[in-house]
Amino acid sequence: MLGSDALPGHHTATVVGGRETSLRIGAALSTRKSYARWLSLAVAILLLVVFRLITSSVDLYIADTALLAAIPAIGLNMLTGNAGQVSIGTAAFMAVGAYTIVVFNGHVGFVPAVLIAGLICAVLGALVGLPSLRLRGLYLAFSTLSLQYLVAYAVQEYDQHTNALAGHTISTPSVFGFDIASDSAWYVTFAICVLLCMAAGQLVRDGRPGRAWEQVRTSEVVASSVGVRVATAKVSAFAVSAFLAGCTGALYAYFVGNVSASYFSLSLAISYIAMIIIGGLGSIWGSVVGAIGVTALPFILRSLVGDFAGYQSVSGWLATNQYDVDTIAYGALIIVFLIFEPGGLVGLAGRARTVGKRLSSALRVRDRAR
Amino acid sequence: MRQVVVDQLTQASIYALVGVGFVVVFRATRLVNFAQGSIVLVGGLLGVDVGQRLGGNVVESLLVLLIVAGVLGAALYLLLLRPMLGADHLTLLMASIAISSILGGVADLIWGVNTRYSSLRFPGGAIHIPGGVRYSWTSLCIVGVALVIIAGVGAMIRWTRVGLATQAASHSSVLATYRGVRVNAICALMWGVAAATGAVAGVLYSIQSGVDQSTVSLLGFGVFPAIIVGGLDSIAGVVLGSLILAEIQGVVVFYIGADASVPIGYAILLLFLLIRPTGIFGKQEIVRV
Repeated sequence: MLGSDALPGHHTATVVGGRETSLRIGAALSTRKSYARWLSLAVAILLLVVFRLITSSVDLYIADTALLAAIPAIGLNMLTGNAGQVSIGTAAFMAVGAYTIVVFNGHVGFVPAVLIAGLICAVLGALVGLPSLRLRGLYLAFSTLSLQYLVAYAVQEYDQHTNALAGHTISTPSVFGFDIASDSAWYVTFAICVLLCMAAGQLVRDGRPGRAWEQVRTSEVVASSVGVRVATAKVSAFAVSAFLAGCTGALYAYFVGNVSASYFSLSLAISYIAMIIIGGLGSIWGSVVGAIGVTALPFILRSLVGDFAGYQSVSGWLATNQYDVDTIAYGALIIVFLIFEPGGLVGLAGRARTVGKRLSSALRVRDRAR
Repeated sequence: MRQVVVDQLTQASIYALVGVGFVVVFRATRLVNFAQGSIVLVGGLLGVDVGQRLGGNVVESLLVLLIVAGVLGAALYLLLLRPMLGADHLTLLMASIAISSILGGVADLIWGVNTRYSSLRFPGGAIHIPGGVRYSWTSLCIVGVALVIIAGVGAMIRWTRVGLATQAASHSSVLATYRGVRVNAICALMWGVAAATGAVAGVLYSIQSGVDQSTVSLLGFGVFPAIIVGGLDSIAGVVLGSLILAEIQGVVVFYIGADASVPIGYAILLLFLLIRPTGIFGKQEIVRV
């Protein structure tokens, strides 16, 4: 499913030399990258453990939400940042995943249920990706937007027909006899999921499917002329991102314990777009950082005002208009990043490193001159 | 049923007015403006205020609103989108989503969540059409105002140098600049036109149905099917698409229920995307891999 056949097999291609070379270069790159890859995972594990040790119980819930948001962000970023396809359908896939759990509630175990929800969404994602073979850019935005409205209508009708206007209650999941109920247990669960996604994401992105996606994003014409199957690449990217969104919807259902249609709104879908832009398009770390940033933004805003302004009236105003202020802040941040730093927070970090290197080399030159 | 068909003409004219805003921005910048719904919301709310200030005088209120909204729309472009001139589809699309988010938040902060109705004084009463159907003078005036504005924008695009310059700007902003077209001015103007038509659409809609946050999805995202059916760059297409959309929605709401209104529009949209993505009148973009 991850598109291991994104490049044609050895016996079919006529441009053997070119393909072999590009594959060899790819292999060389990935061996050199593999150190960095495992190092970055180790850093992620370390950060997660350290955060758990120093955090309070209130922050833990926010951290859970942020980690959960990171999963579909990684998927969406592969689709948009790597394969260059627009999607406004993340919330719709999450809804399908969550309602799969509503249907399965109590009949299927935790892990299989989440995976089945993901797979159902992957199939749906591939179907939604099919128009991408004929359509591009802006038209794709329309087809995924249609999905959002159609799914929202479907789950709303489902709520009404099952008389569940207050939402569907989901029973507490358990794995190997352990109940996952506390924020702390969820933290461990989500941390494992995010680490798995990061590792799998890096393998897929640096492997054949990822290189095929990159090629399709840069130029479909060039991609097809060097033997990348554009259709497979696009559809597989849609399937992967839908799979992760579906799993997240399922996890969300278990995490919150109550599912209702109103949560899976268009603004939820847009918040994921905000995450990958603010974090950094095409970067796995960017997806995670963006997810954390966007989830934590309201809390950061609140504490900033609390710290600096100190005025009762300002923080009171902010508390009553929290939702609007958040909405405006998301929008403004997206615009600011699009204009000034299209690479997102990760790009900003990269730029800081370059500046640092230049500074240090400049200092060295000066020292030598002395 | 016959009554529904006639009533939906009003809805169709408002859709068309919003749709014209999409078309002019698309023609100038190749951007599908996801912020149009929020522009309709802010414009409509602004229009309600203007109408109250001017005591419900129709002509004065609409003229003031056209100008104010036009200036705000142009300012929006110059402030937020001009730095991204020449960026790809994805970037522009996301920028417009971001603008939509900002405008929605601002509208909520300033005007709150209440549904507001415009106090524009159109003539009362109704005309009776043979067959037991009645159509109010207010609705007729709404359709009239919409048609006049659409015709005006259409004439500008079709017969003036500005229209030609718009085409040049969207075709290639760099080449257009070489030939002396002031691309930024043109784009700002078109954003102004889009905001003005959107605002008038909002205030016309508010006379009978009121504007609130739900207007964004109803008159912004809800109009996408009409512009896809008609073709993204054709004003005649948008008018026809709006008519088709409004009538189908009218019938569906009549038989199934009001909740199905926006989803049925999107079902039509999906169908068109699969069969004829360029719409009925849209120009074929030649891309094939």
